Amino acid sequence: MNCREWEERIAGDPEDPGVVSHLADCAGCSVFASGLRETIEWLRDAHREEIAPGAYTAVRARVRSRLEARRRWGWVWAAGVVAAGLVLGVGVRSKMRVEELPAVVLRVPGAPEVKVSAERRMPARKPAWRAGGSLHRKAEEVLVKIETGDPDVVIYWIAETKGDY
Amino acid sequence: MGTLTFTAMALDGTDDFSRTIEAARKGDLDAFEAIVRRYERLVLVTALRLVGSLLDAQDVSQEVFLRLYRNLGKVEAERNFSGWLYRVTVNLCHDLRRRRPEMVAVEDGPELVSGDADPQRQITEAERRRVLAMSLRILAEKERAALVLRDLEGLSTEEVARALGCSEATVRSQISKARVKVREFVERYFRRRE
Repeated sequence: MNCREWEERIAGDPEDPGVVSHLADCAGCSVFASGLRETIEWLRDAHREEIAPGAYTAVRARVRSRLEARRRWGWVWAAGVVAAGLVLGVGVRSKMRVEELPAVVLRVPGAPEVKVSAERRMPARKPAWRAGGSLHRKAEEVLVKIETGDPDVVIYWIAETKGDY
Repeated sequence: MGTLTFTAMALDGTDDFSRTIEAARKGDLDAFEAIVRRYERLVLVTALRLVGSLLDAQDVSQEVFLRLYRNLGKVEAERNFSGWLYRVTVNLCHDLRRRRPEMVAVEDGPELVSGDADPQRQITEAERRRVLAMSLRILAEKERAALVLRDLEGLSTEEVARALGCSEATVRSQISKARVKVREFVERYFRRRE
């Protein structure tokens, strides 16, 4: 294994016994190992430097505003779902109620007593062409009088019986 | 290096934290914000190293925490917030890079704060940040993730393997290659400057 190949091993695990043993014998690799250690330490120090507090504040504010917006929308959604549920529920319930309704019994006040009497109003006029008499029964006008339970209400109408012609 | 991870994981198990999670699960946004505060550095800085741009890293962080909110129950059951957050952060960064392969050039933006008033030191720190960003950019996606989690965030090889969804042997190989590449890059960078 040449020094170039050793470098990756050193970089991977400088505490490895094989590496430690090689470093004791190889000046070049020892320089590389110490240089590597310094570089990592140096970068680590740079990494530890603080970021401006404003950068954190901005993230916090953005997270908070997103969560608050989500919560507001959550309420809107919840209200919408509840409203939709109510509408749906009422619809279903009313449909169910229609189906479950007992048969409706209408209590209609008793019909007025009607007394029907019919009397011949006038003799049917004989048309001239029938004057000679016929076997056929002739149509006659009939006056129908309907007396209701209310003495003030009397219904009349004129009906005509059907003749045979 | 293990301090960050250790601290985060130790906090995962406290009763106080459990109560905070419970409150957040019930919809308490203040409680959730407390959780975000606890892990925001872990998520944002990891994302920044992986995607190379603060704006993208903030987008990723936002999505990570929104997912955390949706999965609080599941994450709590795992009893490993840090592990879950690393995993989701890495996955979202990969998704982002797949969607936008041409990443924005890394700049030494004003987002990074130097605690030192000495101008010379500030320049050194700025350069260090730039070299860090550039050396991460030369790595393949998986090598970068392995290096960031193992060497910068200080996770164990096992934890990195879990976060990346691969074997420990694969992680070792990726880290080894990544370290060699980074070492060569840094050496070349300073040699060119001399």
